[in-house]
Amino acid sequence: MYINLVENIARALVWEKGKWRISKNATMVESLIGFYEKEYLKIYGVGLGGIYKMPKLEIYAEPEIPKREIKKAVYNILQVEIPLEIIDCKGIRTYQSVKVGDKVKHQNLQGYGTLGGFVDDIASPYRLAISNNHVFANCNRANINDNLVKLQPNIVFGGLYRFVPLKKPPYVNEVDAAVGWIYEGLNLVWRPRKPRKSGNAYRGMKVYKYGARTGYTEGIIKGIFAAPQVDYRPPLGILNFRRCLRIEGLNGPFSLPGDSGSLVVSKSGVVVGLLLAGEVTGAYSFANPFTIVENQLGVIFT
Amino acid sequence: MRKKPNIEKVIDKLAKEWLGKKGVISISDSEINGELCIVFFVNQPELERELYPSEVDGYKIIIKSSGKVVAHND
Repeated sequence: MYINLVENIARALVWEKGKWRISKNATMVESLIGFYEKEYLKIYGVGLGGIYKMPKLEIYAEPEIPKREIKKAVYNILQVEIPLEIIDCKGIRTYQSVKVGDKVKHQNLQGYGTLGGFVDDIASPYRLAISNNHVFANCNRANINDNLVKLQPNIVFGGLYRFVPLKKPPYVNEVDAAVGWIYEGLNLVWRPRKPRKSGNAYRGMKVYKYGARTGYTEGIIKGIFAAPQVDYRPPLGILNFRRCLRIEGLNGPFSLPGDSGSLVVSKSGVVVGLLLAGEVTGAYSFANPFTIVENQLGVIFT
Repeated sequence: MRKKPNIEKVIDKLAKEWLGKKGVISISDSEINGELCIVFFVNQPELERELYPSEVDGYKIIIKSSGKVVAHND
């Protein structure tokens, strides 16, 4: 297939009066995303480059393939040595992305939460998006593979993969967590930066989060064994939790409604929590310890 | 001096006994002047200190006024 396209491009270059110029009938072929990956030459795209009076054929190819090999193959196809530039390329991706801090939700959820980050499944090679059960699994009401939606612009970015069920009293919950698989081809973007590792929190630790409602905020961990009653509204109602991190904001609320699912990260880049709830005025917030989230969800931060 | 039990276990015990009663909406560990203590967050318009214990298993109990805790989806 790539031969036809290289030929089409090459025909746009015409040798005339001792110069190469662009044919009046030239057509541009661009953005041939991943089209040639299976070919031994690993050409990802072709295009017309150079300046107007000195056009040349550009070939976007894997750097590990020797350039002379690609040139030789192209000249063999065209039977003529046209101006040619091989441009190193490790693949072309779409600009559509999912970012930490995006507004996300289960397809049937009224409202939204936060895309916290990306983790790896222990039992498969999947990279997964992480948030709360009440964001991705609609408070236990979802089915596996239900659509997960990113808002503004609205796109379905993946499907529900696994969640830890929330249980009513007298049961005491330890996590409100869920993960979703992500469609191939989407760029996964960390904000403000990718954390280094996961680990445990301590009282007095300075932390930040990047949430869909309040963006980047900083706080301080005041408690690491907090036991709150959290109001989920019907049908779940009020649920009990234990071993939560209690966080107070340093300059205003650490979180507000819409920030659920944010990762809580130490200033030195250690993921220590998954935010789930907060006091109604924003005075303090609660997060589940991230090492417990990893254990119960069967995922790992790498 | 008697050794204090683990604060996590003390909070678990207090949570069973107190959460949802007399306005207690969360119980947390905290540190005041370098000393570990336990905080009762209470959702009551008028705090009546005498309704709650002042010390449990060697940990001082602090009472703080608070709104309710809600899941943070919008």
